[in-house]
Amino acid sequence: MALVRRNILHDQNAAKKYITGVGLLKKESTGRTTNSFGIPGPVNPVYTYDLFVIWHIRAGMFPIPRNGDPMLRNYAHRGPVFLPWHRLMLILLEYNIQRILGDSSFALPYWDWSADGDDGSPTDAPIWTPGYMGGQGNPVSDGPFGFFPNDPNNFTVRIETGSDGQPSQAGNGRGRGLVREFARPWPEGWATLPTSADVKAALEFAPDNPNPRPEDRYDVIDFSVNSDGFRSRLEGWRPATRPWTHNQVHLWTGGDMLPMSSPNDPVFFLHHCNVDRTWESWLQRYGRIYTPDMTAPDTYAGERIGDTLALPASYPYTPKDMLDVSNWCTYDQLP
Amino acid sequence: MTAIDPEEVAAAAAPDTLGRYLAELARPAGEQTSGPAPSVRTTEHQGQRITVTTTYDVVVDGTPVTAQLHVADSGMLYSPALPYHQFTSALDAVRALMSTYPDHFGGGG
Repeated sequence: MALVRRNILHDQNAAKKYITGVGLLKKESTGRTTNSFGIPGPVNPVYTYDLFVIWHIRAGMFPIPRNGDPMLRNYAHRGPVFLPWHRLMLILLEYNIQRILGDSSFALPYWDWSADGDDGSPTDAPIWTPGYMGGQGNPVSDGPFGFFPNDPNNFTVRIETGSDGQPSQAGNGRGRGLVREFARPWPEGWATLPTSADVKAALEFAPDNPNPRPEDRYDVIDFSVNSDGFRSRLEGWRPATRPWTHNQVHLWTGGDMLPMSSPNDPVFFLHHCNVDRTWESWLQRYGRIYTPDMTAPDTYAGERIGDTLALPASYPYTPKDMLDVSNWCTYDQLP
Repeated sequence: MTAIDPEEVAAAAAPDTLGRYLAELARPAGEQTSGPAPSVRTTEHQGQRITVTTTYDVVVDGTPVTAQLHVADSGMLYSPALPYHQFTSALDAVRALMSTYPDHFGGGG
């Protein structure tokens, strides 16, 4: 029976399991060390949760095409693969929480940030109270992911990215507390969260083209930050006047949600679960379609519907596999 | 459509599998280097080939900045250190980098 992902504010049991599961994965040694992953500095153990941080950083460094520029498009962002890649990431994190809790009924909860956006983007919204994610701070000093002096059970950020975008060790290898800085003004951040009207606008986007193909609603050439479609609008690049939706949430939350090491903040997965929920709504409205298909040139290898979602091809999953995961999970409600 | 196989998920999600895969990626081809890197924009116009190469050399308090700035065909600026931002102003980009990475800029932020 498929899991049902629910609003974290309506499912305290899922919230508690998520917080407990993340805490356990932060302490589960992988048996590998930082040097195994080419991360400079002192040799330190790497824990299971931090594998997801490293994965996200590395995927963001792989350009599509392989000899291209990761700032044009990469294996996780800035192109149509953004949504299927993060759907796979959510499933693998969800499975690891199930495993470490010994509870196959665990389903990732989502944070419906548009409800907070509709409410004026309060920095003291329920999600940021100590019973959920805790609040903002440098470091965060309340809730389950706070950093408390002399507490050996501190939630510790260990892997981060430097100003050059490369992975590095936080605190020169000693780690540090989580940082959140809500609603900083542009260009440091963004003052508001997306609203339900913003989500509706992304979902209802239709191409300005006299003879659009069905998949043109999703994305169009050149499949980048510049191409207009549901994907680019949900990711937050278009219209290019300001940050939107997904990107806007990263900028509003600030701190550790700004770099490519953003999975350091456990709210990352609640955020992306809501992004995924929005994609699921689109798939149910317009059909389980995707573009580019396999006739697209090698320029887009890694983005096409039958390409594997990661390199090397050690995982069998493709964007096509991610279009219908209803036997794995569903949502309690779609926008 | 292919259904998700829980056994395949378990195999792919295993920390050892994920760790081994990421260790293989440690030094990927095409990995970015530090320091200024050129953005090359090309197009054709009236049968002629245009190439525009742009390099941002950023200096803060006399010290060269290792953060990279790229300019896309649209003219928007991006930095791998701020993957969710896009800028119309290089000065805004550097301001955001300095606020996000104060320790990398002498801690002035």
